[in-house]
Amino acid sequence: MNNHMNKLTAVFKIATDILLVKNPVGTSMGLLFGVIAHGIASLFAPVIELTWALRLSVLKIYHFMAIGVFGFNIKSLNAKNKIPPDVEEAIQMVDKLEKQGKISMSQATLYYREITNRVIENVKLNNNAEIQAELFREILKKQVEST
Amino acid sequence: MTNIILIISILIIIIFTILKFADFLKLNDPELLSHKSLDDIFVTSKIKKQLYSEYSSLIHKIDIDYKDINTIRYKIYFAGDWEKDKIYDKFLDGSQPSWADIASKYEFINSKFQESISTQCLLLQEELLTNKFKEKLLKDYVLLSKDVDKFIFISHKPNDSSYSKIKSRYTKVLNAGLIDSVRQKTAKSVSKNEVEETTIIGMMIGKKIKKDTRAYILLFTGLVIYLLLGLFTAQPNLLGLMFFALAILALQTNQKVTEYRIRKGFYGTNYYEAREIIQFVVENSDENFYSGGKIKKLMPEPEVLQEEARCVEGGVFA
Repeated sequence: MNNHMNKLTAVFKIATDILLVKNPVGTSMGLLFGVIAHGIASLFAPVIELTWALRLSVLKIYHFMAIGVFGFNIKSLNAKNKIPPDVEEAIQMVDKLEKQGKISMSQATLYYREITNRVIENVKLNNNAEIQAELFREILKKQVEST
Repeated sequence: MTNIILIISILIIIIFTILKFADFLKLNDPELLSHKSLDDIFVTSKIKKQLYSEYSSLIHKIDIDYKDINTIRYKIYFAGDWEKDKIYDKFLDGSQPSWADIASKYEFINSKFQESISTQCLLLQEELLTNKFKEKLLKDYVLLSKDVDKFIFISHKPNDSSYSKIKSRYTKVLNAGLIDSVRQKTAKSVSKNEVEETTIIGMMIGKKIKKDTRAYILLFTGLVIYLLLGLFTAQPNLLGLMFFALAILALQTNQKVTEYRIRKGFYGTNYYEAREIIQFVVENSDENFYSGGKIKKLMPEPEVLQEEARCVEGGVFA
């Protein structure tokens, strides 16, 4: 049951991430842009139709929304998505082995945990992130001491 | 058809707002927390250890002759033949005992002792769980959660004081579930590795919450503008509502699913999510990995046994 829920929620998460959550601000901005652009276009529709002989009524609100969403997400299409090749190889290996059925799901989760932990250990965080991390560690220490 | 879409999208938005407020109420009310069972609030080994230590300190106060029974046990266990006489005087009114008799006596006493202890323990457990202990746990939990909230809402510049109460209020309303999951995750982390992982996940969630609140605000302003514009046009096309409803639904499901995964401990046990976490760490690291910076090697390099191929004259390999 747990394994099934794990897989199912993973599918939902990846799907919604791809839909809009990778860049939620951009997507919602695009929707807002669509609404405003549609409003303005429909305001000036008679003038445009008279002067340029274009039929603006063909363009519905979802066309404007689509244009907006696409326009605001162009940046994130080109975003750097790279991780160090060493780590990438290791993760891909675990994924491959799991798909081939050579290791079980629980083993794969252990491997993923270990790889991420090693990366966290080996990497030096930059200044801002380090300050934040220390704050959080203090909170955790307090928790441990109080119990 | 359009009517059905309209009704569905309006329903989605209404259900969404109700769910958000329900989460928010759960987040702040310690009274609502007290209705949950203890295991829901804390399932940690730390708490269990504390329970046992309290038991042991209280067991010393129980009104049974703990020491006496223990000394007798000790004597029976280590007594040689020469001490036998002294012991059976105590137990068996002068009759000649065999070692088997003494052993049976010992077992009887032992079982009595254990029974009394276990009953006392059970009583204590009930008392602790019902009254004092639960209150203490709740207080600790509320304190911890306040700290975690501070951490989540803090800006990237630590000296920036522009963070206001209203802002924290609406971010809390919009992301209550995620905040709660981070609180629980922090409460559960014990070992050093886990602490490191939770700090990273907490930082990720903090960023995600900031992004999501912006997205929610933009979506809602868009919705309001859309509805207002609809009032002034001759033929209002309400199909656009569907898109807003879809976007809100997607954001909400994403939040709920991440919340569930963090709570259950599934987060980061996946190719996609492991990549996500590592990417976050690399982006927030000191060295620039994209232009020649290098991470320390994950594994030590394997020692390769180089078998030297001996070349025999005439081009034959042996």
